[in-house]
Amino acid sequence: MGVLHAFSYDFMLRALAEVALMGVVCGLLGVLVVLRGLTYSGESLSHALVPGAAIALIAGLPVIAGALVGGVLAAVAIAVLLRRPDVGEDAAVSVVVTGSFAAGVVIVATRGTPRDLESILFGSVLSVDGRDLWVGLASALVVTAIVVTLGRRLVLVAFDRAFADSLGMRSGLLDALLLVALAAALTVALRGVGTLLVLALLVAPAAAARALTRRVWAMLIVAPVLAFASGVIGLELSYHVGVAAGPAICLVALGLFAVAATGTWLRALAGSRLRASGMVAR
Amino acid sequence: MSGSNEHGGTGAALAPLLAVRDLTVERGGRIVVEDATFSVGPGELVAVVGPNGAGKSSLFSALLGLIPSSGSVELAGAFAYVPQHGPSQLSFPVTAFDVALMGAYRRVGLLRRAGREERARALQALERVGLADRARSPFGELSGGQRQRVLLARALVQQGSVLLLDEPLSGVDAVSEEAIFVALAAERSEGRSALIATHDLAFARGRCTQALLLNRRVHSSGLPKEALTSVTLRAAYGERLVVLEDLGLIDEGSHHHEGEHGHEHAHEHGRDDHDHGQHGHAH
Repeated sequence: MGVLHAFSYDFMLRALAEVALMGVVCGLLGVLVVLRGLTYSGESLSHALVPGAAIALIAGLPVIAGALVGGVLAAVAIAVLLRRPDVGEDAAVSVVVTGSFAAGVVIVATRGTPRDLESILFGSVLSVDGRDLWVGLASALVVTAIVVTLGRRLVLVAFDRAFADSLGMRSGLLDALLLVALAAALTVALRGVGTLLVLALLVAPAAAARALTRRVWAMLIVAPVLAFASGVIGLELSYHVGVAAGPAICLVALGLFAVAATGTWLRALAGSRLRASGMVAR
Repeated sequence: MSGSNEHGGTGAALAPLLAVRDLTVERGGRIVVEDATFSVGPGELVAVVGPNGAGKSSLFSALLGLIPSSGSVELAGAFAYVPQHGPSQLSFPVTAFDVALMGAYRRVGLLRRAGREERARALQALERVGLADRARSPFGELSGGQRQRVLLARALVQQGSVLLLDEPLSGVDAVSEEAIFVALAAERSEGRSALIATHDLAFARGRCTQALLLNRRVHSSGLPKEALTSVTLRAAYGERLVVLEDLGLIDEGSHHHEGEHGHEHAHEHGRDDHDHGQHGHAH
């Protein structure tokens, strides 16, 4: 059976389903977040999932559902603060995030086990259960629906906000929807890679897609594929080499980005050499 | 244009495309445009001239309905728009053609791909601004002037009756300025008109059919050579202004440099109604 041997176990199949869901949502949202320049908000929002997840953990509810509620609330708070020019983007986000992250860690540290905290921060893709997958699937459907119906508007707002406003688009509302979709995507990835590592899976595939393609629609196809591939390769590494799955997935995503960026750079370098030597007419 | 130009304006005989009456705009508790009244006929090119902060962008935003205003705006057709500050990141993965096609957004709608007709229209608009051969170029790889022309093409694809161009000539070289003028001339020959906010007095005087001298209120309006004289300009800009008649440039900025006292004599004339405090705030 070779490399596919790992997926003959149920827990590995559930992990595979988790990285598929995670790959699609993080890949799609990552493109929009990178184009809109909201990477920092993405990182912050991932930290803001912690208190919701912690409360759910203590109350015996699904961790992923608690994280989703906390994330959506934080997304709305960030969107509201983004509209206040006197607060400023970075300051607004920091205030929401650091506070909620600290609260979450305090809750888990006092009421949970070290293992609970580790699972929230770094994920535990190999212990994903059916309930996690259902919530993940629902979140993934919401994210995909938002991207399919509003993607064109989100891209237009990201490209030229003043022009989008002149067409009657409500850019503030679109920002809020993007952040809510982002919260949902981060929630899907919570079980997979955890809140501290998820940024890698959000940004690296999108950045690699940016290096490999020249059009937005192409990025929206390439990024989810790369994110999913990172998940599968990361799981294989984890199974065969015995490294922690979450970090392995993120390292693969970063590795793919490094390869894409280096390849593009070398190609550009070769292109300019050829043009300089007159071998290519332009 | 109403008022001073009832005899001479090119558009005065025809019903106006745009009639603005007593438009007042308040921003952050401050009145930035006060009682602006003017009208624009078909085929006109109207220069909107005034110092930074005079309310040119606010006037356009209010016309587009982006910020609240009082007064009346009657428009036959729709506006098309080129914002003052263009796209935020140049690395955005779009081609010149993609950007032009964004002008068709309202007609294309949410889910459908732009049809053949809209794509042809986008190509035609790029052709009109002289960039048909750069349609497939990444937007960020074009020169500043070419990017401005692509943004104009996007506005042409909107198919509005009145174009609002917010300082499209700033930082644009002579080739692109000429291309922009030629494209606008073609649009005007088809009955559309344009308002163009600009600091380029030579362009306003030499190439526009009307001028609107704005500094919160409309200081003068009418034929450019009558509306933009050294007297009216000084009234609108205050004594800080030196009009270089030959070059047609408004040399406002040089007076803000410290240690450059050439302007001091202007104050001898004793007009005290402008705000000396602005001097300190400018830098």
